[in-house]
Amino acid sequence: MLIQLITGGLAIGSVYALIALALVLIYKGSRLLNLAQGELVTIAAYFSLAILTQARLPYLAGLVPAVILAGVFALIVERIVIRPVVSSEEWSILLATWGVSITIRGLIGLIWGHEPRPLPSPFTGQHLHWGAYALSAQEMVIIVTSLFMLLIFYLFFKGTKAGLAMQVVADNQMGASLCGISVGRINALTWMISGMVAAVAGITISPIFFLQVEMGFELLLSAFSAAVLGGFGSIVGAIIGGYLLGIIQAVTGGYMPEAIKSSVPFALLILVLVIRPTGLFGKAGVEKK
Amino acid sequence: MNAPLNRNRILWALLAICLLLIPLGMSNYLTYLINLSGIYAIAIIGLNILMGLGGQMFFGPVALMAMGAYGAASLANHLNFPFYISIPLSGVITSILSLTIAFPALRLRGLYLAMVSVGYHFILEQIIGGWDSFTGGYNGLNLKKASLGGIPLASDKAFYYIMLLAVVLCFLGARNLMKMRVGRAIWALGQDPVAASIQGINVTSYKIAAFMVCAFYCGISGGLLAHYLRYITPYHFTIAIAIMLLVGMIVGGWGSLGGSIMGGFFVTFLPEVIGFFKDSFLGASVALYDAQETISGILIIVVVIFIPKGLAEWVKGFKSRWRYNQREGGDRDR
Repeated sequence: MLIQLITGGLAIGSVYALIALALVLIYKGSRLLNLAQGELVTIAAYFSLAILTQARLPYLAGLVPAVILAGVFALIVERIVIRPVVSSEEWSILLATWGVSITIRGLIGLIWGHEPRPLPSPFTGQHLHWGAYALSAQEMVIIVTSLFMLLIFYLFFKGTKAGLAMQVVADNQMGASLCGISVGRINALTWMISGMVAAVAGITISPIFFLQVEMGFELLLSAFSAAVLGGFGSIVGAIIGGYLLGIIQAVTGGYMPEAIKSSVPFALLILVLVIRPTGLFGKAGVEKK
Repeated sequence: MNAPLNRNRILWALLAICLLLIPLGMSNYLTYLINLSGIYAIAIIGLNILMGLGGQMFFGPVALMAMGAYGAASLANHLNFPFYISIPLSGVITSILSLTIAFPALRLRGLYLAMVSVGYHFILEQIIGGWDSFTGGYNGLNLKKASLGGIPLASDKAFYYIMLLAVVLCFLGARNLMKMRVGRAIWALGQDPVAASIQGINVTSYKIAAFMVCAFYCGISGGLLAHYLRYITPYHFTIAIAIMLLVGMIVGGWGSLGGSIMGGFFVTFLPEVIGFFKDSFLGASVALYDAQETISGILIIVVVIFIPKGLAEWVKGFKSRWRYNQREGGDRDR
């Protein structure tokens, strides 16, 4: 029982970790909280639904074009909505991202409707038997795919010039532009990568939870809690916070009434912010503005 | 020197007469929408004092409205209080209950407070949904008809006057508050807490005061809503409505009271206007709700990019250009 709960928690936790990573990347790049991140997850899942049902590709092969499409979509959002307001005040950027989020939700409703839809996956309902335990195959797919995504991201971030430029921009925008780095272009790249990272989360989780217009907002709130748990602004913290939150939620959900499960992220969020606002991995001097 | 004053007085009197006569020529549905706009405008005024003036990113006004609504409902149902007592009392109750968010908020700033208040909203929503014996859960709670001296005030038009009185009182109260020590202290706090504390302002107590004032307004708004709809469920107090109030506040104008009222009307009428034009522009097959969401989302983006200061400043810009030759001086009605 506990083992199944923990693997389930790891699976949903990897989804939180990926979305939290996307949130933190954008936060570090341009000091804004992207309220549309959840909807970027949702629309990526619907892209994959369209690709899988129209092109009849196998599940894992259909994942790649959907992720790329989601990255391009995030790039377009950055160019049209975010860049004109990026230098204005905090709340107005926040509201702009909220506008994006409502627009995407409305568009999804217009195109695909509101009924929950299953995303066909060959792994749904399959189980891996390991000793006495039966583990859900789709959960294993989520865990492995997200680890793979995190590995790619790590190699990109540490090993390429663009990744290095992203780190520089996150550290000091003025200094970066003095070194000849185009901050605008790096921010666009950050948005694209965030869109792609979140897309992997959305596409792998959808076969378990049905696809719904509203799924993004709930995921966003959990991912934000995860990011705060790890110390908002720390990439490692966001990932570990995501896994931790997933496990805590699954285990409390297994032993306590179902209604409590959905309040766990918020209770944890309030607890962390009141007791230790810097989170697990945040630096003491982290900017809390 | 007397002439502009007299003209102003005449304008105010005309406005008052118009406001009093408005429901006579309106359909019930239009009056209903106006009533809702007024109720939301009160909550937006409160939100504007906390966010626009005090600079606190608070996403939980609807949680406070829900407290006010359920408070007013239980006062009216269990204790038989008339509406003119239960509504102000619900404001008081809400401002006391708001301490549960005000104290955690003391340690939080910016986005952190925003997200914690979203969490606060959800936890409260769960409590309301789960506490069947008090709130009726998702089945909802019925209220008795409001009555004044034995005459029931059930119709939309009768309620319009209650709403009007409440909005006017709340507006004047907020306008005076902004000019008082409390209001100026909250404003200073919103500009820069460090500078404010150097000026001798007790940051902690004024932050709490800002929350309590906001909660008072939201509570009154919730109490009015409960007495007006006479049936409340958790579905009347969702996060979508909280965001709607926020949109109203920012579209109306950050820190502007007139803007708050414009914002209340904006968010109530926008979906209706979209619904009105939808069939002729988009076709009848398009789902109404989705069309409303898409178009309001695009409008929010457009407002943030092109009118970042909100409608109130925009209108003021027109007015000051028009007045340029008639009167000199800066914007004294700030």
